[in-house]
Amino acid sequence: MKMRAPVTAILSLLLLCAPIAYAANADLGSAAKTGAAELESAGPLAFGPDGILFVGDTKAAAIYAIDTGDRKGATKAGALNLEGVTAKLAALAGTTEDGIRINDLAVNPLSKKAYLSASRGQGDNARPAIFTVSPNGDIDLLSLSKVRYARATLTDVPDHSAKDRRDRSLRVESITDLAYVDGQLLVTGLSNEEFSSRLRSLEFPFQQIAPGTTIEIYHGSHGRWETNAPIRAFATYDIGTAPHVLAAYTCTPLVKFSLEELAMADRVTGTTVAELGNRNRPLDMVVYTQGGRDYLLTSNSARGVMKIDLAEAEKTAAITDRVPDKAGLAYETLTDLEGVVQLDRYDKDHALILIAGDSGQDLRTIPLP
Amino acid sequence: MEARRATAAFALLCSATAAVAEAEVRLELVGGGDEASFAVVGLAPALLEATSLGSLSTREWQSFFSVHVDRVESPALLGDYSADSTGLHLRPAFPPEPGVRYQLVFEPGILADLVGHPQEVDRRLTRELLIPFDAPQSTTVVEMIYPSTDLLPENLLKMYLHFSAPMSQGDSYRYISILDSQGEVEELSFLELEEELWDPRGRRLTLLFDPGRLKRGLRPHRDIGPALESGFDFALRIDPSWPDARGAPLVAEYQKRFRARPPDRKSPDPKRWRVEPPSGHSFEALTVHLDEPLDHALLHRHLTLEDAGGKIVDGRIEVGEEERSWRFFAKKAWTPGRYQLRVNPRLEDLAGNRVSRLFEVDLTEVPTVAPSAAELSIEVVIVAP
Repeated sequence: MKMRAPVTAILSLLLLCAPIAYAANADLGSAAKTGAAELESAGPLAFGPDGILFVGDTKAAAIYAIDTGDRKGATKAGALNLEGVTAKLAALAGTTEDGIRINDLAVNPLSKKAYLSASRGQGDNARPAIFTVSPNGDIDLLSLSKVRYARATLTDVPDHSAKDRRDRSLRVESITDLAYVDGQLLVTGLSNEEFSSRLRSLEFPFQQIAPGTTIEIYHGSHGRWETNAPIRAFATYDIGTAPHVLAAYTCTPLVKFSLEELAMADRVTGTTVAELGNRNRPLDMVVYTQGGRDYLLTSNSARGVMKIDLAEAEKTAAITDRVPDKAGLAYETLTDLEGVVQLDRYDKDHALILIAGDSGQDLRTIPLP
Repeated sequence: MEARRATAAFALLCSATAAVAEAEVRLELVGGGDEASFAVVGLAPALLEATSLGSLSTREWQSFFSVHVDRVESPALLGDYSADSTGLHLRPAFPPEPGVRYQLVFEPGILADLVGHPQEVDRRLTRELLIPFDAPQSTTVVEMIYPSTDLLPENLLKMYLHFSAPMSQGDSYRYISILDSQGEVEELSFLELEEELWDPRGRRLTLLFDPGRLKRGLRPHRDIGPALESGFDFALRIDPSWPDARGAPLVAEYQKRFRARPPDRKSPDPKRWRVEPPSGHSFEALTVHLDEPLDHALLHRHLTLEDAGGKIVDGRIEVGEEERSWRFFAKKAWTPGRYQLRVNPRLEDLAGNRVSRLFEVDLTEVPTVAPSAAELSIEVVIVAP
């Protein structure tokens, strides 16, 4: 405590002498550019350090790292609640409610501002947009016309694949989810030609050339069938000190594997820890700690929001037998959260959700269950 | 009384020096597309040149000039405000949309206050603008659906829908359904992904059948079974109301009828392919007869021909009827010699079984050995006629 005063004094002095250093840009590496970030689409979002926003441009098979400059700490921001958010975004973007489609939600952990990626308009008129919503409800657009950014392309190699009449490849690797972990950006994708599960790891700041490494992830089913499928959503968390990935597949097994394993192989078989059920698609995942225990909160297309105790996940061996009803981990379905379409961590004790409400879609801060 | 005061104020605003009639102040849409801006035109040059205009915040601009969708009470459009010799402009963050009703509001009194005209002015000018929506003519059709065969395995994994022009995206699953022989819709057949799998130009959509219903051992398969049941007839229906990228519906409904056959649980086997080499010095096709229908898209990508020096031969690929054959037309006349047809082990059949690996591997069975490099290469000898 005693140390704090002089440090603060030195800091203020430094800030006075070097205001430029205070407003310093976030580190985007040598590939950083300033100008118009010409996104073709704005899809999955994730925050990195210093207010850097990663945006998956699914149409262009690229990732943008954008320096939002939004670094002002707001540890005690009030709850963010906004009714009819889609209608409000539509009005600000000069269109009607059906002209706005929200693709993803991410909360800037520094400012607690919500970032919503969206597309505005349809067909030839569709434009990407990233809106910000402050805890006080102010909505703005993140300028993409003059911004500091770095871009990484996900295209593997020049391919000799099917071309359209204008000699453009028909192949697209779209992006399903993103997460930043210790200098690495993990990206899961989905090809429009190959049904497989690829997880790509990109070093950040992005390198000039390296497209990152890609591995294939298989998962078992009842100890008998081993298959490969695209990952729909994932979250990272530590088991002991080892970082792990919990991935939810399109056909709803929940699979875990270690990041260390990923670094060593080009093919990994994860452990199926649960099945999230029929007629259902996982949408978003958040990991949090409560009372010394780690939990996973996942939103689903048809089964509301589920809460899973990760300590149990660690204990659960692979699903080895046919379990007639509940497979793997026990989970709790939070029925009052029916209609959640987007979910992200808000602060230590809260999550921010986008949920179907009486007047379209609402942004709501909820206590972590 | 009110009117007279407003007129006086306008005279001031519109004409500090030369007289510009009040009627000339108008609210308009200027330009089109991405360059379009909402504008207040006909204002006095002295006002437009006021330096204080440059330092106004967006909130201040919005206090005297704003544009709203449908009702003036709805939030004002975001965009960039500016003034030039022609007037005041709001370039909206997104181009104005045809079919949307915009309400333009101009409050000269507030502007006068902000730029230093102390006169009390309370006349408000409004205008409703509807960007005309010229319903485009329907010209887009479904060109082709792959697989093209009408006998499909129960565990079919993918379908490709090819359209003659770019389509609208984001709501696709609403327009696609699988009908049983009674014409009833089969629920939840597809994996309805938020990120629809379009090609870059929006002319080909990849449809995935729900893998949960295909994979043995998973609950959806156990509880509800596959969407397609062997021995029964089905139709894939494309609703004609599906708008293309311009907003015009399709020319007509499209139905692909097919029958489901037992599941395919075997990998494609290049050893069973038959190669028909072209004659040397000709432009004939090199034809490969496959052992089963293979994935249409991957046939364009995962089979390549190399010359004796290991160089990829440049040419054009044609996939034959029912995706049972692969034809290659070299760009140049064939030089007699030895060639290698390289098979990428990721090449798939209709059920997602790769050359190198089945869609589902049964771990209780003796593992099948993945084909060796030699087995993934087929020698083709082209001789002079």
